[in-house]
Amino acid sequence: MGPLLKLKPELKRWYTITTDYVFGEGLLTATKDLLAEAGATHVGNSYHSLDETQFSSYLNNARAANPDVLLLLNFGGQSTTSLKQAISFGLRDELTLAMAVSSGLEQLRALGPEVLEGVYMGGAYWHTVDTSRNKEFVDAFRGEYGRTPGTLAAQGYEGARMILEGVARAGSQDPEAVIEALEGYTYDALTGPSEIRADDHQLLKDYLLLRGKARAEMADEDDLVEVLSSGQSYKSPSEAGCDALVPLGE
Amino acid sequence: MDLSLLFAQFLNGIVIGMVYFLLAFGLSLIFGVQNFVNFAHGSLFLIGAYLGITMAGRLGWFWPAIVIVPLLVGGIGMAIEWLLLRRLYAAGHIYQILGTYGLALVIVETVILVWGPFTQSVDAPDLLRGVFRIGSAVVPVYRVFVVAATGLIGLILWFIIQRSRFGLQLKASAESSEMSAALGVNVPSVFRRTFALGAATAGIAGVLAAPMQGVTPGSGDEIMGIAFAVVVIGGLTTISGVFLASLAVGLVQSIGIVFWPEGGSILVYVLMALVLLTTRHELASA
Repeated sequence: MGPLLKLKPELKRWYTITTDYVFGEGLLTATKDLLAEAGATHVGNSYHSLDETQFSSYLNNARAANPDVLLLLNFGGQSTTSLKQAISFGLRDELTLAMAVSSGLEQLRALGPEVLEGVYMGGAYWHTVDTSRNKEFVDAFRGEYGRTPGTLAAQGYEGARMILEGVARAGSQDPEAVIEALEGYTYDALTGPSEIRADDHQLLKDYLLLRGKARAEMADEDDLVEVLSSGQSYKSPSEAGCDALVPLGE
Repeated sequence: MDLSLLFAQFLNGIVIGMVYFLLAFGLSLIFGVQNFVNFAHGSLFLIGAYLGITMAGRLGWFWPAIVIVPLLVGGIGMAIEWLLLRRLYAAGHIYQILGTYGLALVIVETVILVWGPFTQSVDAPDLLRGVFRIGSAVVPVYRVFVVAATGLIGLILWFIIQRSRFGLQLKASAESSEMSAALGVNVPSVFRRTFALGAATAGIAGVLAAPMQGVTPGSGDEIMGIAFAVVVIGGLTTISGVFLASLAVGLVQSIGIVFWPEGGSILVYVLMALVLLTTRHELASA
């Protein structure tokens, strides 16, 4: 959400709705840090559990805090449901709605332009990203399957390609050798230059800021969002609490 | 204290309380009349919600769905009762819980096979989009519709139980199934229809809830916990008791979040525990 803060510095008061587990907590901590850095205020947060589908009371709480932005720090079905409920409560007319992690074309298609119009979203991939590798990928995918690739398709492709590259570099299929070969590996991902950080194996790749289009602005049925910016913002290994890599189980 | 927030949460509590009522009604009816613990009740809600999403979403038949889905779920309930549950009546609560819990697992897995594991949702019909503004509070039109529809359904249910011949047979069978049978009431048929009525109300709760909140295969379990709390708090005697307890639970949940954002959703169970501790309750002695 850093780019959104730069793009719209007038958005000063932020309210968050967060899933109460480690992923949500990580997003919440990062959001608070970003807001403090940008001089914006975190006016409140509501936690919800992983199985809730009724968000109306949190939306009322959010509204009462009078924020400029309501930011959803949940994922998947819960972000779909909570965003729809926020729209049904008319919140889009009163404030800016944002969703930190959208899960790609499939989710946004299900939401549709009536819900998405004007909503800001973070996303790992979008098929209109302007790199030559992405154009090749999208053309090849459409040729093979007759539809537009979403985030899951892109991630599956990139993941498989990365492992093959690791095997080729290591000259072996031994997992330890592949891991070592990929440490510090830099490559052109679909979203642009990327790196696997040697210290903690964090993948450093571009993350996108998207904004939902109105139905009238859409060129085709998959043209649901506009890519506003693309960039990288990662905590260093020590900030992220990953000073030492400890293999699982040791 | 922010009064407009309290007011907004009050309205919200009434709306969610209405859905709880539809669900808890069937649970309490089946327990009250048949002395039968139905752990599969939430699964009937789930079937209703998914059938509603398919009909209202894919086919665009929201209004027909409100009528057809409860009939379908009622029919499914009747079939379940005839095939499985009637064999458990004499077996005692432990076997009923095991049997219906197993059934619930089968239904949830079947729902995953048919509709997939992800959240699905459906839009309210065009007629019911938009919001009402009451003072500074905002209530979506669809939610107001849910309150009105539930009120109407509640009246119909009250009429069936209190004024119809079936209601009379139902109460007589609950009082003493032997005596009712001796007087010519077909008790097994009354039980089957009672179960179907309970299932149908769970089905319509699903249809009405789907456009408000979306549904996942776990939704039945989530709402069942609350329905049990309602039944414990409201007792098993009357429709009005279940109705008031449903509203109380909705309001406690919704307003509790204002005062205790992290723990609003456990307050319901605190209330339930207090009721159990302070009253000699039928459920506790059953």
